[in-house]
Amino acid sequence: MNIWNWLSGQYRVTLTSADPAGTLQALTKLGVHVWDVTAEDQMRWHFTICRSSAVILKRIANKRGDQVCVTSHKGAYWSAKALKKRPVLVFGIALLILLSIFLPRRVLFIRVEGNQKIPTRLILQEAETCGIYFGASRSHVRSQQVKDRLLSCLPQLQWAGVRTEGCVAVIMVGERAQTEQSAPQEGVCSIVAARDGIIVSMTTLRGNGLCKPGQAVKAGQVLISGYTDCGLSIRAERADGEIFGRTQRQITVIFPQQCGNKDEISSQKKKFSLIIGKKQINFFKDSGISGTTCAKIYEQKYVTLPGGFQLPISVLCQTEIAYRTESSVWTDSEQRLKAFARQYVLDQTSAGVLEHINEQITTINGCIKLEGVYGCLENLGLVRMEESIPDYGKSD
Amino acid sequence: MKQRMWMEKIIGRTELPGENLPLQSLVEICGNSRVLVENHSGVTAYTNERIGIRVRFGTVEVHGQQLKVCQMSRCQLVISGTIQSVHLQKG
Repeated sequence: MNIWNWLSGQYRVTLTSADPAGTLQALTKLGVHVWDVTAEDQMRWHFTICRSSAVILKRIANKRGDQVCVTSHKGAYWSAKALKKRPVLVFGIALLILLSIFLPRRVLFIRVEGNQKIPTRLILQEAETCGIYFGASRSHVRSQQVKDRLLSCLPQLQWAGVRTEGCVAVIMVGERAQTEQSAPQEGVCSIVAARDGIIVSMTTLRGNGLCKPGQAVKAGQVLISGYTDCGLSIRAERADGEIFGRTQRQITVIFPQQCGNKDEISSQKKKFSLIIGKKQINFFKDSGISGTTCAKIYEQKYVTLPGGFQLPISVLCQTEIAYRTESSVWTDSEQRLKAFARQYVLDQTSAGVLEHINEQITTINGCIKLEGVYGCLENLGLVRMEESIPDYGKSD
Repeated sequence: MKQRMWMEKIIGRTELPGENLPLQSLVEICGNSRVLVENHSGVTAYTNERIGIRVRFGTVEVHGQQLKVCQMSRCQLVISGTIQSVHLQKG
């Protein structure tokens, strides 16, 4: 028996004859091949023939007066015939074969790597115009084209490239390192007072100083001007200097006397949702709003294929933990209040120190109120850019 | 017939292998599990212990246990099983 006979199909037959050997000999003389001949008794033999020889066997058996009975059949022919009765299975197998040939040649997932400040959505938008989208052909993904397009549309990028890993297109980008924006080195500027105060010390490094120590200034008043009158002309430059002065700040801070603390857990509930792309399917009845004060923990787990490919399918688990709360009184509320107020004032100053403090603490409606007046010694100067005077020509 | 006699004489004188003669029956034993008979003329007896095959010059009898005809075609016949003896009977 060879592979072709198996493919074309075979019959297992029972021959009942007075001379089975003679029937077999007659069969083989006509070129029929038989296999697995077994003799049940003198008159009944079993053997296998191929499907195409069944007609010849029937003819010879009829001629010799023998009886032939097909007991079973086997081979690929019969399996294929049985599949004809199951069209859905055949369709499914054909679809699977087509998809396994078609799908690996297409881009099904897109991943962006290396971006930190630039949103992924923006990069994907630009990549889509270059032909990288769901279902695009992998052979048409051009790394150089994508790179050129991304770099021209997103100046924040330093380099970009694309590669394909199976059905995943990976867009790699590198962002430019952003340097701190320093003050413009060109243009005329003056130094003005940041707030009201009395000048304690003044050092003019460049420009024209207009005030002196001991003078009271208002916020916005020019302390060092960038313009210097030289008689025949006015010299414009970038004013520079250091001015320290005394200022006064007044703040009001309110702090609660009692606070609520988390006690033991009263109840815990878990809710599950399935997220496919941007669609969310909730497996709970209500809206998801608990109506009580509770802590919520969100856990999202993505479906990942072997090899690290992450599908846009995830399971979201929301855990709501309700606590019992108990009220307690701050024991050191006054100290907390004062420390907070003083630190706040210091943070508002520029290289400042507190010289004198006047604080009043009162209790009102279950809260502690602090009204403070703080005298500070701080840097008063603030750089202000000036409009340049146009040059209309030489003066006589 | 005459042609065959001349060919047999030539083969005998030149000591060529006899398989080259047309329709020459050939019995090939492979170990003790397989017997191949070429250019046979049919089965004369068939039991689990004894299978007889008619050939041009007589009968070949294969004795053994669990004997079975694996394949049978116009030119070849293959017997498998536990072969104990193969007899050649002229006539």
